[in-house]
Amino acid sequence: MQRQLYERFAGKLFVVSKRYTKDPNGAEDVLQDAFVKIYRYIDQFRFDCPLEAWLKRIVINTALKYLRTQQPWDQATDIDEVAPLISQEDLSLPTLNYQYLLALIQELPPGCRAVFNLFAIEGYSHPEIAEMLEISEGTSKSQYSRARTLLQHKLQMDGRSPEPRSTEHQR
Amino acid sequence: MSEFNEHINPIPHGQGDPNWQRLFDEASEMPPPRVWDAIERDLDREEEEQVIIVPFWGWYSTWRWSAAAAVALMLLGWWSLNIPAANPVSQVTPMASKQTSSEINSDLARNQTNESNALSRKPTKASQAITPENTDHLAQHRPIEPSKSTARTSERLAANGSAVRLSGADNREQLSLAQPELTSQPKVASVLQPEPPMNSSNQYIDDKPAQNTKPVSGEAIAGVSSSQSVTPKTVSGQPSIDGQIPEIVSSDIATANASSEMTVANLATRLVQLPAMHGTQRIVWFRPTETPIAPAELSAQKAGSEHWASVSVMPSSYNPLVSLQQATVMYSNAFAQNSTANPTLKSQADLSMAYQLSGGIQLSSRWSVETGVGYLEARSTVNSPVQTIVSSLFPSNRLSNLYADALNNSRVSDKQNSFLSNASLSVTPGKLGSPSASDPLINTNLYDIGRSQVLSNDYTFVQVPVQLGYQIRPRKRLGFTVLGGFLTNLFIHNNVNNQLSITNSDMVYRPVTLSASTGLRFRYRPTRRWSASMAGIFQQALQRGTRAGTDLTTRPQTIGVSVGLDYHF
Repeated sequence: MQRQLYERFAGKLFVVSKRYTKDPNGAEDVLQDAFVKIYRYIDQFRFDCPLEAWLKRIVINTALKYLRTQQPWDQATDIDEVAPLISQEDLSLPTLNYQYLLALIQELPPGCRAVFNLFAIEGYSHPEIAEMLEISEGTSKSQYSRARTLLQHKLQMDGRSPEPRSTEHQR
Repeated sequence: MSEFNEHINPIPHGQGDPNWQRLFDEASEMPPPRVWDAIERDLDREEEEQVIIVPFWGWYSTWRWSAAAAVALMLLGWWSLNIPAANPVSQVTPMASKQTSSEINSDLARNQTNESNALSRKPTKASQAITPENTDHLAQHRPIEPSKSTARTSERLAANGSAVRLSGADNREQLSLAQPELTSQPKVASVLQPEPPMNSSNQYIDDKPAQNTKPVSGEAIAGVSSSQSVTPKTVSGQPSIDGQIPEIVSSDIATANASSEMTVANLATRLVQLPAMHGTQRIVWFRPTETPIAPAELSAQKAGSEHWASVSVMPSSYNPLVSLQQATVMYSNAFAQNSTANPTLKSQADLSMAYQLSGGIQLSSRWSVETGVGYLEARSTVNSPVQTIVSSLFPSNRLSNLYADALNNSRVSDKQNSFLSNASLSVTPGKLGSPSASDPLINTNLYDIGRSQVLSNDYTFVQVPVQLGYQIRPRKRLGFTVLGGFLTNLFIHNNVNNQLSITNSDMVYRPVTLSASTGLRFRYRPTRRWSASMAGIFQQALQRGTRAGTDLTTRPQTIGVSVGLDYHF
């Protein structure tokens, strides 16, 4: 049964862990720790949400914990920096595969990467992110803007993104 | 972030970027096999570490499962005692029907771990279905590849020094089937269903027994029957239960070997023709219909509107801070002439107890509001100067001191009967300018400032607190909350020295007073439902506790430590 659970969800969850970590070894460590926790606490799953969402949250929390142990948020060099350029452009993604974008995300600084994943992909709001990462809401917003700027810049450098448009996108 | 909180983290309330979400929603990439190997090692290590029994750990769940296990043991014992002696292999009609064939045609059913799991949960099913044909059937058609659990089980048997002699791979396979593996499998909603036999390529085969039935060695059957509670000794003496099978096997191996011939004889003379091999069982995952929006809303609503009820007791020190009104200097005239000091009352706190039932609502992740009803037994002492001359004229059990006199003078009943009261019955000196100026005792009662009497005061209040709480560490196992609010005190009565009882009808104390309350609460929440809390509370009256026109003033202060038990809904 444990093996079935692993084989069924490990693929998706591995991508989630890779989004939060920079190198594959870290992603494997996160996935390993997350699955051990999943097996340990699966009896606490109340069926009040999809199982995949529950598993994903455990992986996310494990990844955040891993990042925190690697470099605490308050010691991170990037988390409290104000973004040099607050980008409000729409980050369009024309026919890109996830492997390419995953590589771009992994190149982001840890704080930017975590905030961008939590906000853009997981769908957390800035107050929720601030609480999860124990940072201020303004820091979360600035980190998200900085992540978008960096991604936009990399996409433009690779010639995969059109010129930025001036649309209000940030919440 | 503690492990506890990792499972109650909020569901996202934002929207995210649809483009990015769409790209990564279905992204999947299988990790390398070494990840699963590492997970398996971790799980095995945890399994070994879980041998340590912590008393009352998860006691509610433990007791529930213990009760279920006890009932299962009793049923098993009853069943074993009621087995006909002449029927060594009980024949059970298979429970499975043809309709399960479609259901079991899933990938989950084909894994051997499930099968061993199912066997471990209901070991008797396998034993009941075993016949010579079926054992051979099993031996032939089980997946040949030995699993790690099989290897571990064999190692455990070898380590126990058991003298099991196995005749070939088929027997080992049968033994592995008969040995429920001790794994800490997570408890997931599952449906136990029988499973048709499989051939070596994991293909489900026909229900008919194999035509080329091979003779089964007695040791193989003995190996199965000893672990499956088929032999009479095992059935009557040591019922097989999940988690104890290996020990039973190791202790009963000799018995099993000794009785193998008899078991073989019985099996050989009783060929049971079963239509199908339905002995094995498996777990079928039940996945509810995934409606992501509704559960998310429910969970969000649930997380936002968490409420709790608590019962608490607060040992405290209650000091009413009793003093005479500034205008009540007339009492000073009643002091000894050689004294120029103003009359003073010194009140001191004593041990008080407050009992409270309260409920709270979580307004947001950090803010909460709570209210309830409490009962305060407040005790304090008042050090009061005593009368000297008049008190000597009256029985010693009469109150004859400044505090009691002030209380008596403040009582409406006394004022209404001031003449009679003061002139004949009371030892209270009259006030200047009052009708009692003609009191023959006026200015004859002298308070001796050098002598004092300690009077106990037993106040009783009903309290209704309304407090706001701000959680410093929200959703943590150990949380800190700063409390602040108001406390409505409903005065019931005050018993002075067990002789003078002041109630609301005496119009001395205000019936309702308001206090400010603040404190810091520590709450330890080991489970989702229950928590224990301890709070340091300081309460200060915002208004005087006595009515206007009375001779006394109180402005109570309370400092205490509240200890409570909370239940979260």
